[in-house]
Amino acid sequence: MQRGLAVMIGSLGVMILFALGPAQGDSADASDSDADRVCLMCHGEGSALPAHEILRSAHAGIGCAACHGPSQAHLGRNEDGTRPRTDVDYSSGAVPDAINSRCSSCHAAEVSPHWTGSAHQFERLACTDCHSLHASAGDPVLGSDSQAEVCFQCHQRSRSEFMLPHRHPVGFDGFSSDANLLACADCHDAHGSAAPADLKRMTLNETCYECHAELRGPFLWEHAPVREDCSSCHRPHGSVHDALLRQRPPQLCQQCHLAQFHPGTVRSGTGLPPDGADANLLGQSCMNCHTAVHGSNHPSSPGFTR
Amino acid sequence: MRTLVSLLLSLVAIATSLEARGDGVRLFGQVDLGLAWLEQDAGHYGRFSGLDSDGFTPLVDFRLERRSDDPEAWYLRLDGERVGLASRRVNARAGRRARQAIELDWRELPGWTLSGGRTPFRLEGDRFVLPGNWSGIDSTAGLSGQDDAWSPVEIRSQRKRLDLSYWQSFRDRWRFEVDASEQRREGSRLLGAIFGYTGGNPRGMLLPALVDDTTQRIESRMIYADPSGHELGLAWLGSFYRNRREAIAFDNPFNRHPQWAPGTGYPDGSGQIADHPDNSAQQLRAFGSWKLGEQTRLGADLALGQMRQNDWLLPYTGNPALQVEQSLPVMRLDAEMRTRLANLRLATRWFDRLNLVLNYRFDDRDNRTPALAWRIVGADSQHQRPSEETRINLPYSLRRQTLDIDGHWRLAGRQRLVAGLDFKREDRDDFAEVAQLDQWGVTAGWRGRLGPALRLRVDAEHSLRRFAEYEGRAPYRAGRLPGNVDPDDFENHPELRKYNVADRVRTGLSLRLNAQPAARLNLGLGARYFRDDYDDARFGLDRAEVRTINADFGWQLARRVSLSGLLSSDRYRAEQSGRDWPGFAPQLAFDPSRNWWVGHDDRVETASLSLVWREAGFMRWALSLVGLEGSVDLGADFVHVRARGTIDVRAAEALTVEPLPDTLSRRQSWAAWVRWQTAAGWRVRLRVEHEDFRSRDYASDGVEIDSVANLLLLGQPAPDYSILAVLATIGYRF
Repeated sequence: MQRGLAVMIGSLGVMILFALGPAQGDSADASDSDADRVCLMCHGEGSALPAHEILRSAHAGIGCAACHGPSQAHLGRNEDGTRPRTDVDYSSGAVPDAINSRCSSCHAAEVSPHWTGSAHQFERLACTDCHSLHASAGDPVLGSDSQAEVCFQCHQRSRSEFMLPHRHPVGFDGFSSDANLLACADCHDAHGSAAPADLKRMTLNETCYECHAELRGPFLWEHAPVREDCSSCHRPHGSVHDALLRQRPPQLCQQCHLAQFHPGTVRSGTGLPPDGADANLLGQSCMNCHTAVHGSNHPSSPGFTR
Repeated sequence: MRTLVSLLLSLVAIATSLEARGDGVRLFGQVDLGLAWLEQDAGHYGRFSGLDSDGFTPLVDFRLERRSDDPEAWYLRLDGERVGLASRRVNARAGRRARQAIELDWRELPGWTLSGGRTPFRLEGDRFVLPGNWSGIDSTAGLSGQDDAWSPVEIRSQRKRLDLSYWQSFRDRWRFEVDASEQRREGSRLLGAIFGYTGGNPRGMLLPALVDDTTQRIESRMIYADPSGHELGLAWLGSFYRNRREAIAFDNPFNRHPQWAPGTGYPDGSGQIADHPDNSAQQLRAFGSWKLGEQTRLGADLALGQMRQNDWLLPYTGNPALQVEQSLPVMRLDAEMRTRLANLRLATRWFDRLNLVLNYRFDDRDNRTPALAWRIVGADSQHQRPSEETRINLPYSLRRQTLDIDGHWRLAGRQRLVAGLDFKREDRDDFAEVAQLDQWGVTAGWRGRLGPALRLRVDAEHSLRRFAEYEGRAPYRAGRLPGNVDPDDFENHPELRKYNVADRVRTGLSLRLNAQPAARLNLGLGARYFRDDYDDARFGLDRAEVRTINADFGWQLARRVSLSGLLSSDRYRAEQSGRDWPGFAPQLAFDPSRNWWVGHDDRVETASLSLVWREAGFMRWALSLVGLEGSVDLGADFVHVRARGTIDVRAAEALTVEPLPDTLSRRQSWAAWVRWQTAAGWRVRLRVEHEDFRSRDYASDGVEIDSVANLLLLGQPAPDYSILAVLATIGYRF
């Protein structure tokens, strides 16, 4: 970590040099071009459709016409008094392919090669359905603390999943108990991928191993469903049960383990105080003993107790 | 961390003190400094944010940007979120538009599991030892009255992650990217440690094992994008996990059980658990996308990978008193998993209104870990088992192939029909219960408008999964030496069907309705029903079902006042069955009077409401009365989540069962906030939050350290709190 800190400080030092370096370029006024000022006459701060915040964004300086086209007609009025649309239309009724090809003229390399045929492309989504270039605090879908809210506009079920008692810490409602430690893009690639559910890695398990590499193994004693698919036992977004499990142990484990003595024993209220004290119901349940449930590298641990 | 924060704050000071460096160069950003106050300690409340200690905690957020109108100029951006908390994130990015960029990202992710536990153990180096005045115990009875001097236990961890990314485009068509990260995890995790090896004689305890590991990852990609629309790429990924701990050793607090070997009970008994071994993974990937005419695109992804693990193995036992006649077959496992992945996708607009996507996916996990014979020692409590009880490790492999055909047909009036067919095949090892599994599926859906303000989406799916043959005894036989397993022997009941390989019928329905009855009102209604049916003539999971209904709205009450909310009801149900029989009466394994059934019913109700009033007029008037200017935004948020888990246990006549109490958790959070912004750029934010959390869980409610006679628990209470938090910051936007 000392090394990492040194790298970070060194890189920041480089950036300080850029900040203090000589001014670059000799363009017009510091804020915007003449053409953009024309647009801002109607779309400036305080207007009904403000667009001025883009001047503080990554798209500052490229000019309104770069995305909207020259749009000379938009400066005038139709016979009925309405304003003609810009040359490139980004309204809700616009053709997605037209919008996407405009954005791709600069961003083709950043969008996954799997966009064509992806779930979002299949559902006819346009770039502007998720990306907001004119937002005052930057594009919300690119912010770790604001991205999930964008995704949840369509994925409402995921919104409620991330409110469950046990969940991955994808936050979105601003409460201190819901810190935005993760964003949807930490696991998914909204532009498409070669994996199911548009996961970032090639399989679900490989995606999980990004943060949970200690479970990657391979181990001496493997737990087969763990090796195959983490979602055999876990719900990745959230669950009613601890550790994001689908159901509680021991009953969850008994869906696959039904042997003589304790694996097949029926577990009920008879095992709770004061009538009883069943180690399979209390504490960590099966993991009181079978602690290495994801796999073990101990030579004496075929039952995952070591 | 102090150095970093000091450096960044200095940078902010330098940057803000600079005048504009020249024409076209702009410096802007915002800095917010303040304090958070928490009414009391609350680990569960702050488990994600790190805001969990009573009293004051600094709040620091900032953003600093330097941009130029010159597209060739470098831009710089610095972001800091929650810098004063254990969930801080600092990001620095610099680049030239469409040319190159470098990004450094530091984030810390707290994690909390429990507080309020107690243990007699303390750590000496890597070993959990008992106090010098410990007396061996036969059971835990009475210990809860003696634990005043015991150590408190809190299970929590902290991840610290540094990411470094760089990309550069050159010669207009090439792009090079590299991402590297290092994540260090420190803290503790909950571990179950037992002695004893068969029904009736295990004795155990829960321990707060230390966590200290690092994951380093590096990925590099080279991409070529042709102006005609073709794209090719090559990538290499390496991931390296290192654990600073090899094993967790612990004393045995229990006296020797008569069935254990001598020297295994207190004070001589000791145990050892293997910690997660170091491992690595590498993957070489080639991908491409080609335009085949104007209407068709072919995409391909090929990946070859390898996962390795070759740590030194621990001995069969950490207790020298136990007899070990046969040594380990190897000192290091040389475990290896080779992976091959191919994904091919053909997307075409067959004619103007019909789009088709054909997808083939090949996913092969070839586990080449050697299968060897191990004469185990049972939980550091018995001499090495006789050779006829030798176990063989089973390296599981899996091959999955999927073929999908999906199409959507654009109808008149902005309607679309979607449909798809899919076939999946899974191939497993000969020692798996099911060597081959096939699944056929069909999907269908409709999207369209029911009038100008109403959009509807309906989807349905149905699939059928079948195995060729189920050999429940296969893993049991393969895991033991030939000749030592009777043909009629079994471990799992022969009638059990494991749900991940069992025959299954899956049915799903979902719909989503979006309405805009008025220009300022959006309504949404969604419903989803999914059901898996397994062969219910057998034991195991019989059925699983998910039912979700949700409604949401967004209402622009006035030009600057908006109200949004969500109501959701989720229900997760499952049915399973089994049979209870003791090993000393094997004939009872076929006695139906010993059957049992369990029904799971998890219900969650969620409600949230959010009100935002931007530039509240009356506040502007109120400020003017005291000579202040600026705009004031007001807001309020409310979240309610109630989860109830019911397990209904029923049994046939030979068994006695009692109901299990429901588990319950309820969270109610509300917040009120105000944000005052002046034209000069100053702003003040104040947020008051209250959260009430209640939980009931029979696994921990009223469960003391000595509630289970043969298991030393931690005795921690379930989270239960009502807490107030106030967050206030003052900032400047420039």
